[in-house]
Amino acid sequence: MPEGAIRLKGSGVEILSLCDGVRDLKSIISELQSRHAATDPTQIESEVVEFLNELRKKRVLDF
Amino acid sequence: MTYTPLALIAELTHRCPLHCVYCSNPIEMQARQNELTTEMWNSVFAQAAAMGVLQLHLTGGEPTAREDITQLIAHGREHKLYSNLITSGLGLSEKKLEQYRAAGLDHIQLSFQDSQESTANEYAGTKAHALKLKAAAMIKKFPLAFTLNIVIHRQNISRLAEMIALGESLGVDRMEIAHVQYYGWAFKNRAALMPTLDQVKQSMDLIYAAKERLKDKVRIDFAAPDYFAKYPKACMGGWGQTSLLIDPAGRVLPCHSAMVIPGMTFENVREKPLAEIWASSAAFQKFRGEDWMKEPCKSCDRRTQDFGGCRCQAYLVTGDAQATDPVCSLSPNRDLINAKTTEAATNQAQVHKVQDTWLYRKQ
Repeated sequence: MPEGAIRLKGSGVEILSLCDGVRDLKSIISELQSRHAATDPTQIESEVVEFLNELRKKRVLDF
Repeated sequence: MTYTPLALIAELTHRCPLHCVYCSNPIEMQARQNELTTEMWNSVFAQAAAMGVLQLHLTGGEPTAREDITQLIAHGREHKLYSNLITSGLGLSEKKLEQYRAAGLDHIQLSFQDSQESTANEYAGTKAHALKLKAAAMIKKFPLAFTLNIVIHRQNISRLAEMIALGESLGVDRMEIAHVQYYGWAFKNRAALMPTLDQVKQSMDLIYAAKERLKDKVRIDFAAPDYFAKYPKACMGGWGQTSLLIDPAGRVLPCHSAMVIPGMTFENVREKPLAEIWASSAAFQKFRGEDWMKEPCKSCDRRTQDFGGCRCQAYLVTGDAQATDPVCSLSPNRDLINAKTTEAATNQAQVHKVQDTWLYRKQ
């Protein structure tokens, strides 16, 4: 993303820092589910997918 | 109000194998012996990073004409800047790309002048097109984010669909399609470059359709032709607000073309710290914020969105750098712009036989 920048907050930073080019979507979700065991896992899954889809639309990342 | 720059445009050299008829370099170019050294650039990158800059645009001229380009890329990475190499692609090789990538290059922007070789070479002033196609194929072999840049204008706009198809076939991640902006050499060649209103409308339809069609594959960034717009562009995101440019000799400018405004003195990184030049030099203060504005900008609701438009354009067209950007429909000088677009519409002969009239940069 050569022009413009994205300001990330809390969970966005955590999700994006797991995007290391090695982990796939599934393992990112399960990592976050195990880190946040108190949160509904389906909610984590849908939020991660929504966030990453949004970044894909901006062509910031691919998966 | 303090401002944090996000992008540093490092104009490493004005030397270039191309002589594009719309080149954004100033008319008075810097010679090689005046260029900053590797160590001076390294210091500039460190200072910029400390000020909060995130992106480093390595440009020129042709930035790879610098023999120390790999080292400069490495210095950018050392200071954690996201680096973008803006290149013509001439002289590129897989070996060099391997070196750039290993040094930490993140992104490469390759320019094309047209989809059709004969005219692409005509606008570039040299036989560049075939070499660019080879460069694109080489770039694809590396894990680099890849942008195709094309400037569109009166003479090539009818091939816009082919140009988008070229970008698709090259497999780029992003296309930057920019209507020519009338500064530098483009201002000199304005009559031959100015599209008609019909051409502009057709190009917009094509761009929007392509954006929709390619939305999950290729990002398309589009620079609209402001002579045909109702309101001016938010030039550089405001004077001295988000970006700074350093020319080959070390002078610090708020944009590519600020040098045209008379009476301005631009300070040099050889003499002063970059942060001081950014924060308090007269040139950066001159049109920052709103205090300098005249009517109709001064009381206009849009002043926080477009910052009065472009100071260089205001000067080039009206002779007053403080005036409202004349492309604005609220500007008392809008008729000066209308005269040029009307002239373009009526002068159909210019669509052909312009080859003999181009003014090319010498260097």
